[in-house]
Amino acid sequence: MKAGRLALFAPMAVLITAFAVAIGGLIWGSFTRGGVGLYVDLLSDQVVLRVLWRTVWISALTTLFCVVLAYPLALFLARSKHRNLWLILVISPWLVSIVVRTFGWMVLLGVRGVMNTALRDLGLIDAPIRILFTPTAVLIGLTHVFLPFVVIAILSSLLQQDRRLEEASRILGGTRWQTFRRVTLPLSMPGVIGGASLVLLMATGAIVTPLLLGGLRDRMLGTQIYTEIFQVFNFERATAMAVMLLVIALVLVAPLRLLEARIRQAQEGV
Amino acid sequence: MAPMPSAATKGRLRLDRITKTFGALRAVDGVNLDIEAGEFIAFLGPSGCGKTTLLRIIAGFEAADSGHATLDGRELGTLPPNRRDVGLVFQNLALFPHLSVAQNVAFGLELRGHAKDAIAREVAQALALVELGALSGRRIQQLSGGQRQRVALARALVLEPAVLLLDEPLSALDLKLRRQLQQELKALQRRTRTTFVFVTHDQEEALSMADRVAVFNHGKLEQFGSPRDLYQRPASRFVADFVGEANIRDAAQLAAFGVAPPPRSLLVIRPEDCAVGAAADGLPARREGVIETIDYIGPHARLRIGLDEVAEPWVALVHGGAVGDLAPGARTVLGFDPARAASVPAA
Repeated sequence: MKAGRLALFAPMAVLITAFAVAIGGLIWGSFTRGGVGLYVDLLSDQVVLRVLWRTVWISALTTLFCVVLAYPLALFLARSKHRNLWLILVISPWLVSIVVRTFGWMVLLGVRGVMNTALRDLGLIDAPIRILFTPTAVLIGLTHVFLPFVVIAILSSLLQQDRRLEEASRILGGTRWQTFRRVTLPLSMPGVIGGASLVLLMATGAIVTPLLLGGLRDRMLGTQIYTEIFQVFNFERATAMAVMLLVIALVLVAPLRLLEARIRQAQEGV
Repeated sequence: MAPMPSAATKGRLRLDRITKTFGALRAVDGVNLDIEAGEFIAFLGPSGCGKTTLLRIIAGFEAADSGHATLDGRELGTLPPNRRDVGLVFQNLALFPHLSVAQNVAFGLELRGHAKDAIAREVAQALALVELGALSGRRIQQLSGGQRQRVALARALVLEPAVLLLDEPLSALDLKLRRQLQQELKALQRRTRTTFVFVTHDQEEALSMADRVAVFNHGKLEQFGSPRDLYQRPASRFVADFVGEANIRDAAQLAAFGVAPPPRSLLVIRPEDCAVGAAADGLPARREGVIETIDYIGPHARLRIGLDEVAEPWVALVHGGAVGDLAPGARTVLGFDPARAASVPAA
């Protein structure tokens, strides 16, 4: 029994060790190679600060868009009789590589892309609208990539809800909207916050989408690290930025997790 | 909550040929019911008999395929649940887990836009009514089963609905608590003079609580009457069998007693109307049989007696002292008075 449990834990132990060594090594390396001065340099560099700020606001907006778009979709799925069919459609983008999907957006959004051509042919615009290689394109791409995660997080929360609670609200005099506002929505908040945390984490660290849709001018932190390694070959700066990325992700997500814990405690009691 | 009026002024519910089918299943089949204001009604029947579906139709969660329901002369028709003036206590109570006891009770008042201080006063009164005043700040998860029950009642009653529907609300509780809450519920109904419609599959519960009981089977209303009527004058074989225990016998089975039931009818002989041994002397209908089992239930003994020519044993309920030295396997005389037996249609 005991040996069996140890055997079950073994793969986990390997992962934890590898994780600790890698992250530890990363942080340690950033200090030994560049020292604290490296961080001071980075944080006083206007370019880096702009990248940091861009990373934060693009991630935050992506999360907001994902939640706003995913909630109605999840609610529709939760109420649908053909839920599994719709769910396949929602997660079907996962069958296609993220690189391919992102190239798809490039085809759509480019200066000579589908969207601009169509708008010009319709006579709505004279000159092409520049969306590709702007933060807007990154925002669109990231929202598209992460939307299914939020849909699933909210859906699972909605499906756990007892439908009788909504009926109770109705028979107590609640309209459909009041019932949604006072019962369905608050009870699904753990799912909303869980999905939002997930997106926030993934968006701050995103590389492929910002690289392909944002280009090398409007960089996010992930792209910046990529540039430092593969174009500037400055591993010290890259390492220090990776640590900053870690800190930013934690700082952004921590309040959400705290909020979720409080909501769960309030709803389930301890 | 306003002071309770002495006589019920609202809550007269009429159901007129209500029918509801799910696919090939006739869940509710042409039900007519006339419920007076302030009555305590029980819907009784086995699971799947349509009683809960009928309740959900009254509440507005299901639409009847045909028929009319009116409450105090107002057509319920397609009114949504929130505009019916009907309360409902769910089987699983459906208390809001994200709200406190007081917030649960205040829920409906807030939706109606009552003033804050008025809500506080009404909530306090409702919680006092169900003796939960001290727990108003608690979370639902911190309450016992019986306390949750009372919160659900307070949440529904604080709105003073014309009719309160209760969907087997006691079924999850243990027997002792259940008995206690049955008493409280009955007292609460008397005090509030609200029309209660209580769904249950427990015939004892229905008979002990309700002024009138509606017995359902396969979506049809079998009988609607007082508990006494149901027991003493069952309208059908199903009611005779479902309500209380009964020896239901046809002409062939009664021939050995020299008794003939009315044409195309069955006789319903209650176990307590059967006499055994010396006590059977002088009764018009008597037969000798063999005691199969004797169960002692408190002061009474329940005997199963097999007659030679009939496969189905008779059940007799006699005072424990009357059993004497009778034991399983012994021969004894079983007697009853056909004049005291009810008859139901054979088909």
